[in-house]
Amino acid sequence: MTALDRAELLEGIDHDLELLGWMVGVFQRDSADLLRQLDAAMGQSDVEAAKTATHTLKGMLLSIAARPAQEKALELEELLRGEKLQAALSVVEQLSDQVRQAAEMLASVAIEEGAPLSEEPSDSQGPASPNAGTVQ
Amino acid sequence: MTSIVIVEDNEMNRDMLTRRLQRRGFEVTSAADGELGVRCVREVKPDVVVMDMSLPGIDGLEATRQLKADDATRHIPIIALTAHAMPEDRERALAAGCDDYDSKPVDINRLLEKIQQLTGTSENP
Repeated sequence: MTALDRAELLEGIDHDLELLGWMVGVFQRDSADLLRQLDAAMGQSDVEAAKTATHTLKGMLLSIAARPAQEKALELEELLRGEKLQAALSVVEQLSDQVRQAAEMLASVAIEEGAPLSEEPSDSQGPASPNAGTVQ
Repeated sequence: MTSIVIVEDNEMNRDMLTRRLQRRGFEVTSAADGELGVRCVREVKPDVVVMDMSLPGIDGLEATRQLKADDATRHIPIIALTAHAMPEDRERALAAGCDDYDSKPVDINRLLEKIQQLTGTSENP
């Protein structure tokens, strides 16, 4: 099984290549942050923080159709819910590898599709960036 | 134009959904956590809210309870969104006052059907 389902990914973003190009950087940045948070939480046996990071990561993986990593995140969530920390530690390593593979494949798909790699997508039908209408 | 408030803490997921809905003609405002989401809905008074359930601070369940307890916003339909796939999550969302429920990844056609049902529109704005 590949790290992500290319057809499902493209369908899930309406084949919007500008959005795809933007997602590459955001996914790399945020997934790395979440993996660091997860490592730190596991190191401190902070189950709640580990569950939060895993859940957020799972949501991102669902959005890029990265099924193997998504299934690993779900497995980790279940172990954390059961407070099986020792078993969870080995799954964290596997999840980290799969997330990295998903990030690499996301970048490869973007390049192969000719997506412009950028910080923010612009949108002729709306604001320059979706963030323009975001309350933060 | 149908207006939507999206409450989602994850930037990538929030902006993906925002952009997909904007491209279909919806007016979208988004908020990055539950507290901001409640404030945003009170200000914008949208036609519908899409609310992630797992949010930092006030979670989606509590944000929904607050909006449904407020006379000014209780009529606004709320669609719960979660990466969970458990039946009890749906029950908890509906018990908190959500009008409908959907799971991630977002199936845009399924979500549009729910929005249309809740806002009484027969087609995209």
